[in-house]
Amino acid sequence: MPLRPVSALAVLVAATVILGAPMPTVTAAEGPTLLSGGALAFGPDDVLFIADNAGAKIVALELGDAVTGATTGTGDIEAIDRQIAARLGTDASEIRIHDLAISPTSRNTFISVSRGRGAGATPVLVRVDGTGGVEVVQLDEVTYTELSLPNAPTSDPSARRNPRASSVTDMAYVDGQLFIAGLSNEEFASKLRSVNYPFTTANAGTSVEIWHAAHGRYETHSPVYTFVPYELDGEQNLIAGYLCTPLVKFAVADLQPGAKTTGTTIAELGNRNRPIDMVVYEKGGQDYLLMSNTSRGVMKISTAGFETQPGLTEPVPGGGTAGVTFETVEGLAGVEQLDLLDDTRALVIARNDAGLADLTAVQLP
Amino acid sequence: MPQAVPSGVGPSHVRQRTRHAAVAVSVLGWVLATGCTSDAPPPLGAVEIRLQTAGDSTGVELSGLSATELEPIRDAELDDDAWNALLRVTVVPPEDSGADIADLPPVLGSYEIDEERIRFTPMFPFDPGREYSVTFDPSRIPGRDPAPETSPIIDVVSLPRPAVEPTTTVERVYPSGDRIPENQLRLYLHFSAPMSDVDGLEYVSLRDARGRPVEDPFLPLGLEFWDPDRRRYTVFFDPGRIKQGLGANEQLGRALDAGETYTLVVDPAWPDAEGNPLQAPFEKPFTIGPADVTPVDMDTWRLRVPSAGSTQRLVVSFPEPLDHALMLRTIGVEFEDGERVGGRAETSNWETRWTLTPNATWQPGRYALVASTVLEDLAGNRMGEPFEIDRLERVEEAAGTEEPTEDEEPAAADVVRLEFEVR
Repeated sequence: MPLRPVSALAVLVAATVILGAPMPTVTAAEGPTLLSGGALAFGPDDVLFIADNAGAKIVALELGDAVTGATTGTGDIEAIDRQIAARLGTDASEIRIHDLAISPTSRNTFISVSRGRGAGATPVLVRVDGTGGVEVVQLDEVTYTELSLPNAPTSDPSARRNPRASSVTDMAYVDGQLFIAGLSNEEFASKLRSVNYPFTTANAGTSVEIWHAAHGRYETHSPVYTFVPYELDGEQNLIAGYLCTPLVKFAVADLQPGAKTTGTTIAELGNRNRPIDMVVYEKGGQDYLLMSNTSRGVMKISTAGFETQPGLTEPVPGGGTAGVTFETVEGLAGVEQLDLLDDTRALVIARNDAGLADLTAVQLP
Repeated sequence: MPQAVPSGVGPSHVRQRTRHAAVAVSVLGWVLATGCTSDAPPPLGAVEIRLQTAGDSTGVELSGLSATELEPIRDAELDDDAWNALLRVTVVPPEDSGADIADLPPVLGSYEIDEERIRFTPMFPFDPGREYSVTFDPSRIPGRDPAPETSPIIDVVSLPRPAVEPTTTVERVYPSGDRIPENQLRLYLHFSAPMSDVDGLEYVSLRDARGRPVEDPFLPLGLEFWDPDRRRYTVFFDPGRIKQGLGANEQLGRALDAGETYTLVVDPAWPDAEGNPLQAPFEKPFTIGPADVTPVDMDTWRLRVPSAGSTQRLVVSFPEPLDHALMLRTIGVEFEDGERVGGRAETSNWETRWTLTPNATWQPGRYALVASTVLEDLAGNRMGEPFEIDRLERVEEAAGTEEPTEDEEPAAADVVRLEFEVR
């Protein structure tokens, strides 16, 4: 098939106030009820946000003393899925690891897990400490607030339940705002919401829709899978990784209710690929973005060109790449989870040759 | 973390719960400790390890120790590590896992002790059918001199796995028709019972007319697209293979070719929420029509309006099938006062028809059929907007002149209305 003449590489971001914006439903209670485990993100003051997709809500756990286990830091654990499963009294095949987040204060690692695959599947929050000890965070003693995510109403008032379900793909907290990316099981469209935290403010949220024109000249309702806040020229931006795999920047200040902004695709990182996680770190006076992918390994991308890279306007044929340059990090294969452990190390969960997931600290490349 | 004896749950409570236990679920043996010498600690009595249900939880109980043996354990107020050293419960790894049980940490749970027994209650219920190894090491009884010849007592316990006949089936697949466009966007699989949390794409495949699997037809989203009841599973065709100009489309072509026949195949090994396979394999053939790039157009819809005073169905006919899930969610009827008309919405005729059977009789007056602009046809074309849309030119025009206006990008909540009168 001939290539289309123009590659549309701008992202149109339309911010629209959606009816039924998220509103807080509970404040300062203890013992949240989670229906499912999901994405994790740390906020201020040892607050850990956890997405409950089945419960259609975000829960902010005020961890307090639970932010630290026996020791600070995180120890390596071989076959962490098997180890977690054994602690929970089951087999690794019955464990699903949803996400990983590292506390900025204790450097303990928190892992969102489901125990079981069937009707009795239970969400579990696991903490790994500096000795590699695996413990379950007892949520019944944790103070929390929660935020219901809006769901589109059904047109059928007699419908028993709205079948539309959303899944949160990633969250990030910056400057009093929690950004939440997700997608739904009916509309092939990506949602990016921002809400104020603490959740107690009346103006609880703005919903933004992202339309994305990444490949060829045609719009794609492409899902955003991972993103990270990053300042460019003193202005807070979000750097977002989309399916198949454009890298897009847009200014947080532009994401106002009712406003529209045009994001910029600063790289095309290859097709048939889904980004998983990304972090930003500094090394030798230069900032880098480290991004894990389902089929294109872990990429190291200098942020030096993020400000100046013009939006891509040329076609990117045959699954190729364009825009800001990257290098694929040797020796990091099968990475399924990624977060920053400290200034010099990342923590990864990577699938080993035996099909088991190892938790390992690696030097930042 | 194994918990200390919970406050308020004392020995007498344990004994009482045990006495009234509903079912002794499984007794898998008891072991006599032997081989004591004259200068060794006094011999243990007949120690029994078994699963015991108390209330709504099943735990491991160890009985047969004398009061003299239990007392120092109770008095020692053991910490988690000491409890685990004395009575350790560990998952027995499956034989094909390659795991060594010695490398596995103990199962999390809490310990209780009274005058007759020690009880371990797991933090999460034991899995039916799974084996758990229970190791009791008498040498770890506080104050008891180590006696090398007193070996740990090891037993394996498990809850019976109820034999269940597979009953779950694939009830329906949408689109329900047998003809879909080349650029079909998604399929919905409806199951008769809730399903398990596994990667459904492992169990869904597409075969061509010769029975050969189509390469990577579906989008590996990394998330499972279930409805809240886990009875409807959404499969997206890879839009990289649907949209023109996308890399995957150029490399692989569309997954579906017009004029050809394909079969959707569901592997019966797909476990339901009870862990049982499906009752039977499921197949649904499709014949492929040309790509549909035409937006949904409300002007082409036809209404059969019911009579006032009746409970007849309102029937809306479309010239093409629409997306089943979105039809049921995004189409409704409003009375002239703005009230939504309650009733049962259904689709029929291969999703070319939407009907509303009202809960009450139709009042005479003006009504409006209301549909959200997110309503899509089989190929993801929306109201007035094809799935493939040349957004770039609009963006560039806007960048060169002025910001896009609301007209160019309808808000997600926008609706369109088709008015009619009931007489």
